[in-house]
Amino acid sequence: MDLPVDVPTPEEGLQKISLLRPHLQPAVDHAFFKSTVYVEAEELNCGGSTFLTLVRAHMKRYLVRQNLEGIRFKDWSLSGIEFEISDARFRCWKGSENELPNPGSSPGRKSFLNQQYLLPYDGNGAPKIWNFVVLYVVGPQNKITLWLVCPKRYDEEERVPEAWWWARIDEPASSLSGSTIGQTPSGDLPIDPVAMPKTSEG
Amino acid sequence: MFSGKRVRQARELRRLTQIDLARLLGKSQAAITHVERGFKEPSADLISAIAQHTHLPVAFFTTDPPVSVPVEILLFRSRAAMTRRDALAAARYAEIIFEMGMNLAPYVTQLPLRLEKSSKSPSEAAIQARKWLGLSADEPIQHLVNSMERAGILVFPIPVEQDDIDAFSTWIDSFPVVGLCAGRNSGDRKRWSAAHELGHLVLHFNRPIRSDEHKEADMFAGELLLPEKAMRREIVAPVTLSSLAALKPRWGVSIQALIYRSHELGIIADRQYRYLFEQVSIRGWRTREPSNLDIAIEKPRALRKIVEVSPFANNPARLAAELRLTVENVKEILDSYDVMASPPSHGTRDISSKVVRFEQMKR
Repeated sequence: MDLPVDVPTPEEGLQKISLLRPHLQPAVDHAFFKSTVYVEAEELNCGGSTFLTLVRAHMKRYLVRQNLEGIRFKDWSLSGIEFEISDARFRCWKGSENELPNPGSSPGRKSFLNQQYLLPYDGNGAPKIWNFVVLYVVGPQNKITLWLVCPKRYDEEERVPEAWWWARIDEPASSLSGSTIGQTPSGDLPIDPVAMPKTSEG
Repeated sequence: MFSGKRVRQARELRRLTQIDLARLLGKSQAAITHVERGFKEPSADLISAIAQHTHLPVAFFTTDPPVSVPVEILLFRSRAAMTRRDALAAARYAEIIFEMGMNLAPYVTQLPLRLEKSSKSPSEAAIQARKWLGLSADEPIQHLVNSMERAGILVFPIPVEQDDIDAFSTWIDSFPVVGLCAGRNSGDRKRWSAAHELGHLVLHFNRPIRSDEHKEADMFAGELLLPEKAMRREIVAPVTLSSLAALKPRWGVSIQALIYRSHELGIIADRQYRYLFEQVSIRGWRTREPSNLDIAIEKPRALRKIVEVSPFANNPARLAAELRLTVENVKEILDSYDVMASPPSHGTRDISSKVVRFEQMKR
């Protein structure tokens, strides 16, 4: 898809979040584990939204504890996760494949999806700061996949959030570099010829 | 001279029953039994036919095998119950390789044997084994097979393309021997298998082993490849699949082995152990971990190096004749060994009194 010239590309979006990207999957995995253990240990029969609040709390704590330079976390109620990196603002939401969550009646969410801000503007009306959604999708057997989504707008009539693009945030393990373990050793075995007595054949 | 024992060795090496061989030769099973037991001297034509069907030269059958590996004492690491035919083939292959080493031993210096048997706990024995192998106490082992060969262990690949057999080990007299099967298993699994067999060599001495002793060999492998001291330093909370995956390339073991080891050492609790394995399963990593984290398959080197520095290095026909094998037999065996980029050295070196030499085995 051809994007308007001022819209960041998926590559640019992923680049903006590159510092945090390796930590997102472990953060959400860890958060689900910690929340599950807590609910099991306390024998809580909590609803989905309570459980997700726990997940967000653990996820945020995990990310904040990485102490990554240049990432500014916001404090929201109900453990909402929002952070800024340079000229980009990110919110972590739970969603489903190919679908951003509906903002409901929340003006804040609608303006986020509409890429609207109060400040700052560049004088031409175009925002200097772009909004992105880090979407975690919980699949069968609690398999969690992550997407970076650049919202386009919220269609009030159809009540559908639209996006410029979706980009998969890969499993960190898939981008780790290979191993030198087991490759040909640097030194050969110290096995040498034995001087044999000379025969008449030489 | 003709050796009936060689016929049996060749037949079992080629995974043939007496009935199979009899059928190939157009003889009765009783005739094969008589030949193998030396009751009857076969005709030249029959010897030639046996050689042809077992892909070995006639010269192979002119001497008795110098060593015999009883299949009952081979300590196998296998996924499923292996057949007796598989076990016999592996044992006979070990005999052939060992004999090759014996025959070439007079021409080369020997690697000193630095491995001992231990009655300590698996973990303590593994700590000691690192010292015997000349390894630091808590750093990753870069090439386990190479370290084992340097310690005087005869490691060889077995050309068995079966995934349900990993490795076996035994002591042939005073020589520790490890066979690594050449199946499609991953490099990290083969490393674990080599460490597991090293554990058997150190802890269990040439006797049929109990099932719980495989667990001991695994505990030995765990401490050898993933020392407790290092693991407590490197696996820190919060433990996630990603943090363990990052350790795989450094330590050369599977992510699953790291989960197992973390649990064994009490770094993670039972619930997290189960959760991490669930996460491994839903990613499909139980059978195939991410390919970018693949660990290279370690190949042994010693036998090829021995050939390279022997007087037969540039004369395959003479080498084959010396070993009473065909050129193809020798090539097939040596192709499964590591080839070093550096040229072989040509000097001789002193041999200490501790060195155990192959020719001492000759009877």
